[in-house]
Amino acid sequence: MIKIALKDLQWRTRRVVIAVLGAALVLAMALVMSGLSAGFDNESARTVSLARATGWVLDEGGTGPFLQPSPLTAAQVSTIVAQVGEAHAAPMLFGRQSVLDGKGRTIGTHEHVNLVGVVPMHIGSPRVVDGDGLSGNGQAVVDRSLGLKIGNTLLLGRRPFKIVGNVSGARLLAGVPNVYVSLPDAQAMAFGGRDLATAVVIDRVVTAPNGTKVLTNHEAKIDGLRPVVNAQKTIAMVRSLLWLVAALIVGSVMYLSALERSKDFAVLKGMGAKNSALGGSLAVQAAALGLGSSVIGAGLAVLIAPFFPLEAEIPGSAFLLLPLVAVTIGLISSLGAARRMFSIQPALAFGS
Amino acid sequence: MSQLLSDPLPLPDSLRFAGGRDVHISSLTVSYVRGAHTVTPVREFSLYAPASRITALVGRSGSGKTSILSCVAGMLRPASGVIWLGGIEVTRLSGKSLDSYRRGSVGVVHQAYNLIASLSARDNVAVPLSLAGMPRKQALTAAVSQLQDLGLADHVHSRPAELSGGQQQRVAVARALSTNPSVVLADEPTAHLDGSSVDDVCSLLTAMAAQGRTVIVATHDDRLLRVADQIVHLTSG
Repeated sequence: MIKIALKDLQWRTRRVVIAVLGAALVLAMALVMSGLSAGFDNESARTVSLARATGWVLDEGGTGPFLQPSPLTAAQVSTIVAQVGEAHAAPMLFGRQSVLDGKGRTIGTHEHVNLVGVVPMHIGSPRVVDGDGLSGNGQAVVDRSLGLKIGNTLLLGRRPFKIVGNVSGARLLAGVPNVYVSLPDAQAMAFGGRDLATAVVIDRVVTAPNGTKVLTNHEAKIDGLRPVVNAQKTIAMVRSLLWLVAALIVGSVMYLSALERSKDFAVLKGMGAKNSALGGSLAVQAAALGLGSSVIGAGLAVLIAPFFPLEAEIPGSAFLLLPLVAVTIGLISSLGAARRMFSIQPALAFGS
Repeated sequence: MSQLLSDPLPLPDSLRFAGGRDVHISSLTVSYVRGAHTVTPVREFSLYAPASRITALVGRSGSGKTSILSCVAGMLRPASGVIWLGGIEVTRLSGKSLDSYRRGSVGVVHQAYNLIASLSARDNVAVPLSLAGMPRKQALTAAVSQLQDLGLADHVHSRPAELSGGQQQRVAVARALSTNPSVVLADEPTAHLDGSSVDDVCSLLTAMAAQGRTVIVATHDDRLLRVADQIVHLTSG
């Protein structure tokens, strides 16, 4: 019966190819959606990770280190650093700043960057993948996605900075690249030179001093995700709809085939074929369609993902799960066809 | 022609019903609901169709020929009445015994051939054998042998769409005979055939009966009646 099922798919090659390609495209879109959502998670996680901290001390009124921060005063920072130890704590400033290249031109589609002020060569200062880390004022370490080379100049709020190093994947707030500068430079731009910080990063467990609170890395990551939470929910909904569309494509093809094969099913039942065997043959067809769609869909996803303005970081687990989900969707969507097949009476084989 | 219909590979005993090959139909009534009405195409119909003979059921459309064949094939349950094949009361069969009866005891030649379009002639003929539990390789060998016997040696790998109407009918006959059934039921077997092909079908039916099978044919076609041993005229209801 399995052989008959596979031969039938071969017989309906054109329709099967169209259905598989259609479902594959939809599955590819679903994968890309997963990648976009994962990208938001990952960029926040990487930004947190680049600080090489285990905790983030904030003003008690702050929600997180990245968004709507209530700045810590110099006195608060000093208290925290003294309590944790100078080697294990450093102030940090996070804000937004306009950006241009050294000649005053817009850099691609980037009009703003995330400005991160850190204490050079200290906790909070990122490890670079190219060039050197920050060593003083007037220097910048930028994310590669900005597309600027080491040695180039960039203007942050009209202040020139020399790029000394690159970091990779340091973005936040849906793909906005991070630019790391010294804390004094950041304070000059964000707070008019006042000695304020939005957080103190620490790598040692402490009790929060009065008027402050300590966030874990996970909580800091959640803070970085706040602006995109609704986007992630929307993506999840779109992804669910895409799964549904894929199921409808496979299901409709299966159902139409079952309608066309009514006489075949009647003849086979007339020869003593069991419903379970015929149902199994439909399941094999649905699984084959689902599997084919998932394999092609995975390939398509890899091809189309780079064309999205936001980086889609499709998790490896999504590629592994896709065939399983696609086959399951295929099987569920073939239930309509199976129901149709079950209802066919063998006597239908008689007559013209 | 009889040598063209040599028996295929023997089936296991479990697939075969003991007893004779005569078909007895007693007081058969078939009715079904169509819309708001109950239709009774067959009412209190009785028939004795002996083995080694061709029985022709003749009548206009709607006279119940196909319903009777469906009941004898075990594909339609009558409202009342009894059908016997040898010592087997067909109308009492259900579940596995009914499946087994359909697989091993009855061969059906359909009006529109009803071959599976995606399968080759060989694979079509092998289907009933595979369903009967015969190993695939053996089933394919038997199918090829059956097709060769029916003069289709050159079309073993052809799909139905690549065959003429007459050739498709021969494949359908080969499939019906593949399990060496006791009874062969043919539903309008010449409906889509030209003159020479009709002669072929007449020869095939005669050969089937000559091998001891009970052959029941539902037909409109007077050309088939010349080979019938028994002609039963049906009127509606």
